[in-house]
Amino acid sequence: MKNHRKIYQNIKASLIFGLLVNSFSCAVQEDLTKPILGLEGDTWEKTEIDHWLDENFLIPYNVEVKYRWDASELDIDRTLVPPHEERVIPIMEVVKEGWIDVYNKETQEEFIKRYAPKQYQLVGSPQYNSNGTITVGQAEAGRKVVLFRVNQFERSNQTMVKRTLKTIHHEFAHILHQNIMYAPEYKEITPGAYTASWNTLSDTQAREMGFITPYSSSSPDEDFVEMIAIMLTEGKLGYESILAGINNPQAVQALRRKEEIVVTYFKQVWDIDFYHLQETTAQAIEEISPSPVTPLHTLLGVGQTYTKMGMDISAGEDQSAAFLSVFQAANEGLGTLGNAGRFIEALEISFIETGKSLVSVTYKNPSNLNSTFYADFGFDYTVTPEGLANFTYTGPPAESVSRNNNARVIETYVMALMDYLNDNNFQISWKNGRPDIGSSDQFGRFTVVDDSENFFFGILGN
Amino acid sequence: MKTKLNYIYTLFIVMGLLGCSLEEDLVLENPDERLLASLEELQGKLQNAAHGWIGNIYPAGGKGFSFYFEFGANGRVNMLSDFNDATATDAYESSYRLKALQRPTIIFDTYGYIHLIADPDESISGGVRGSGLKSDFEFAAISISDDMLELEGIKNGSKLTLFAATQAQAEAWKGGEISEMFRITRSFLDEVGFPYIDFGDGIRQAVDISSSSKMFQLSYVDDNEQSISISSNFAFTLEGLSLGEEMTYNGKVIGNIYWDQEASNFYILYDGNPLYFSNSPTPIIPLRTLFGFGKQYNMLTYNPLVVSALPSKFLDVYEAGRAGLFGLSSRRLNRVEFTISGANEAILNFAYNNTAGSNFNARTTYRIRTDDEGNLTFEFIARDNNTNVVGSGLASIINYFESNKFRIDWVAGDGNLYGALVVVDDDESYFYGAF
Repeated sequence: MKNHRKIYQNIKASLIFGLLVNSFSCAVQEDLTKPILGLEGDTWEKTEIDHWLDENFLIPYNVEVKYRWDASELDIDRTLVPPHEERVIPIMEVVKEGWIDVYNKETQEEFIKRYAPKQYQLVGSPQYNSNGTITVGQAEAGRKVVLFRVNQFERSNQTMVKRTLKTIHHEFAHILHQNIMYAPEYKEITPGAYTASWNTLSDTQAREMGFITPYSSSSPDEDFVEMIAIMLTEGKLGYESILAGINNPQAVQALRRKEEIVVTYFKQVWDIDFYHLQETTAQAIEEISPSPVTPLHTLLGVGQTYTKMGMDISAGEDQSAAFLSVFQAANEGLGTLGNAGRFIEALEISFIETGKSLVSVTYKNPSNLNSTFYADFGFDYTVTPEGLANFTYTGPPAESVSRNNNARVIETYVMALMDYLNDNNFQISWKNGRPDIGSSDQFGRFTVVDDSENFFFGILGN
Repeated sequence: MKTKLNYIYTLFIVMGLLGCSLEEDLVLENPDERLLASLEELQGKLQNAAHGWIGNIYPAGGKGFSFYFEFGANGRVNMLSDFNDATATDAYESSYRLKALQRPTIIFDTYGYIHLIADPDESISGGVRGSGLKSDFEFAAISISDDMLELEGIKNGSKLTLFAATQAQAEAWKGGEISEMFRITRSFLDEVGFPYIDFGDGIRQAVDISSSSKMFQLSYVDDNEQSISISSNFAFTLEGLSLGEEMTYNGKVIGNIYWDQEASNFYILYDGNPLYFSNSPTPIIPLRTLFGFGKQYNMLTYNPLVVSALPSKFLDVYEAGRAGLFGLSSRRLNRVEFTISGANEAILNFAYNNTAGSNFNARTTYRIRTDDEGNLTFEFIARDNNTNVVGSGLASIINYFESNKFRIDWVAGDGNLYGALVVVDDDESYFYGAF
């Protein structure tokens, strides 16, 4: 027994010894300075692209933009390719101008810094799905956004710019509602219509059901962010024209309800004026990739988009000096009528009949400021295909109504204005060369041919 | 007992040492360090090859492509490829990086020419929508040596063996000579009639090179009228065409296809020996396999105003028939049509008009008799009324068909290809016509 006990002790001792040897030899082995491969991430010599991304995304917003292939970031079952290097900066410039800069104008810079996804992964090709669709953007838990189809990206192609920004705004809106949820009523606007087979719907079918896109019909969350993305990237005009094309009044009503909740959500939760954000986004897109300009003279005239142009003289300081002096002459002239100090309040040129136009003068008498008087003056009017307009004064229309009779009374006093129109040829254009994007107020300009300093402009209407 | 105890002590000590010895192997180092070392080795080889690297990819989705790479130390790589004329002439720079995955891995991590064939956009890769040509741009290094790097695609398993280029090869690639090989191949195929290879076994193997599908094929029709073919995808190289799959014929390996500038001809290495392409003015595939009832062709038309005049004795026979018919009230013979009208039936038709200009046909129907060698004779079955009227004038032609034994073959002349019934034992006598 004694022997046995000793053996036991010896075994115990040897066990301890063995363990000691074990742990000792392992402890020596531990080399904490040894690099662990792959743990420090991939590194490479930085290129201009890398520096640009650092300066524009990483440093200011802590957003990492990965464009080099990293299979671990992507679905290994799909066939994808990395982007062309020369597409990286152009697409990320658009992301910056059409998303970050836009939000920065409407919020504190902290906003984007705080809520932006932490990583963008760029992929050259689209992601092809087994149901025949392609994926152009993907977000994971508000942390990472994958942008596909980068190799097809062209800044000058507005459709492509809008599609890309739509993805960005879509994914960002997900992050917003994942932080603070939108009103639950949203889900009750088109309940029961959400479907997993959204991809079988056409745009038109989806819209007639009260969804802004087919993908909207996949779930309330997607619906909510699609509404935001479409309203922002299509701008007010594009969005309104989508709604105008819907036949089903209930669908329009549903979309209006959704729009209202979106707008309220932005205001109440994030203190952002959504319509202003929409206008800013539309302007940014227009600056990135201007849409073709339709010349105003093809939109101005009898039966056209615009049939009249009005001048509010109180906002007259932008009018050209040459025109203002004419206006002043007419205004002062009118004041001498009976020395009553009548003054012109507004002018309007309207196109109500082919080959004719009417200049309406709105004026007041200081003796009774509550009364407004109108006087109409007739012109023969021609416009060339190039937009050159010619007015020939024909006097107040013959019909004996007060507007015409007033005109006959004040004609000689305001003749300077009629002469100005009669004696010059004008080039018609948009006031700022192109329509003001995102604005419901548009302005036209008549410039005296060969004298670019001599013009008048006004708000367009019908 | 003491011995036993010593034994146990020793055992534990050994176990203790053994337990850690896997980590502490001073000879093998640790796996991470080995991987790191092989990464450095790979980087060194890539960038230190004085004249770049050349390699071919034969992706799982078909075709074959050659590439020229110049790797820089700064993660930049310049590529050329036989993908198309532009990629063969204009070098394109993109990035690459090495990464220690399970094996040292090279990743072409921004888009370069190597991505074209992997692109899931079928309009770019020429492959299948969604998967392209199933190629790779991430490769694991299988073996690394000074002048050869064996790489294997991680996603699709494409093999890419890179060979260090010589100065001459590098200059040729950069001088756009791959695109010159496209041109050579195109013009060879345009100018040559029907290329074939004679392996010396009595069989002529038709050569088919498709530049667009990058396929090289040899084919012949065996005694049982079965088309036998062997084929491989290929990539264009400076020397010619490099095959993606090993082809064997009669148990011997067919090597790559080489261009011989002096001979203006291609050759293959067969069992190590050069075997030049031969050129036939007529197709290698026998016409009998294409001509017959229910086959690609079943009618030959001889119209002297349409077909070229070939040196056949039939021309005299035709002239005699024309004159004979003209002797019958000045009827004019326009053409002779021979049609295989049934499994074993043929129709000989004469199209003619009378002086009033009306068109007529005169037909004779035959049973086709085929002998053991596949030669044909025509046995009279019936003639129509018009033949009753004008047959005597056309007797020379009718007799020609009824009294000779024929084989079906191609004839060519004036750059045109015709089908013919050649009189057995007299190659200079044949009825021929357009299909």
